[in-house]
Amino acid sequence: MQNERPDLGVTQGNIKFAMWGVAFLDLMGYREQLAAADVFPAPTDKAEALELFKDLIGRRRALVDGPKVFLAAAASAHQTIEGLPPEAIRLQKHLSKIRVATTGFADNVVLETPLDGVENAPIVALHETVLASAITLSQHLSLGSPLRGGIEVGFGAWAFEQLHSGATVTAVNLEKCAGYPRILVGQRFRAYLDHESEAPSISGPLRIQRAVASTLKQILYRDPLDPPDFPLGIDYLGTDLQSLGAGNATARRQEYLALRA
Amino acid sequence: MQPHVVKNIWRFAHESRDKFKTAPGRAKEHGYYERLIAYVEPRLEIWGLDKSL
Repeated sequence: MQNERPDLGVTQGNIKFAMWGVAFLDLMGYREQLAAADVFPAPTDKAEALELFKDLIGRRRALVDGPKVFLAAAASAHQTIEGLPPEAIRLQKHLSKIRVATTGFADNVVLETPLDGVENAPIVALHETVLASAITLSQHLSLGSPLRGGIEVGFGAWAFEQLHSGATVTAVNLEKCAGYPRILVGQRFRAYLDHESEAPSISGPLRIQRAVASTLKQILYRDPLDPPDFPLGIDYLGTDLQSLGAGNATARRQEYLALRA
Repeated sequence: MQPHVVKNIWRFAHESRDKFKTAPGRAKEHGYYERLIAYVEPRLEIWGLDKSL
């Protein structure tokens, strides 16, 4: 039987194949909150309507803008570092590749970053993705807006402004099994960190990959109340993440970039 | 991140746990916030905080 599917322009020339890091963040209780705002008859008073949607819109806005602001600040911090070797510019550009993707449904956001090209030390962008997710979680909880998330690494195809990757599926599944507000990581994510942290200790990007992978491994934790073999979580209030806090983040990034020398 | 953020999380976890404790059919959510409290509690010291709400 002949393939009668139409050619939809899917060719090698317009697809980017790569390993990807994906973080999925989902607002807890948002759907119920949205359903409760669907009152009938609809309020005619705008102030009354605003009360119904104020918190919903605020939660959504913080979910999308939080990571964007963090990642923009991270990229800016890299750009303002002076005296770097020319090779570091490639790394700086790579950081701007972290995409904050939104779907048609307002309760979640997806952060996506390609992990291709070791010359770009792509793990730095993954590191920023993890930090953006962890900070978004803590900020939301602080404001009384619970959320959960999942982070995974996997092969995928980028085409027509859309990532197609099993990593997204796993990240969503991790979020679904997280239970309480937290961010779980997948097996491939851990395998990637294990692999990169064992890279030979030489200069350049491999050294960065190794250093950052070791850092990321330190912020994983096993909840003693979980069953054995349950996925690990991001220890977003732990000692190691505290040391990566705002005051130290720029210094740490500078350290990574300086490793390029 | 500042310690007051962690304190807010600590308070929120308790408020949510207590809210769901008496809500019919919300035992699952009550359990979620029990777990959140169990996660946050041993980390308060890292941020120089005590267990007060």
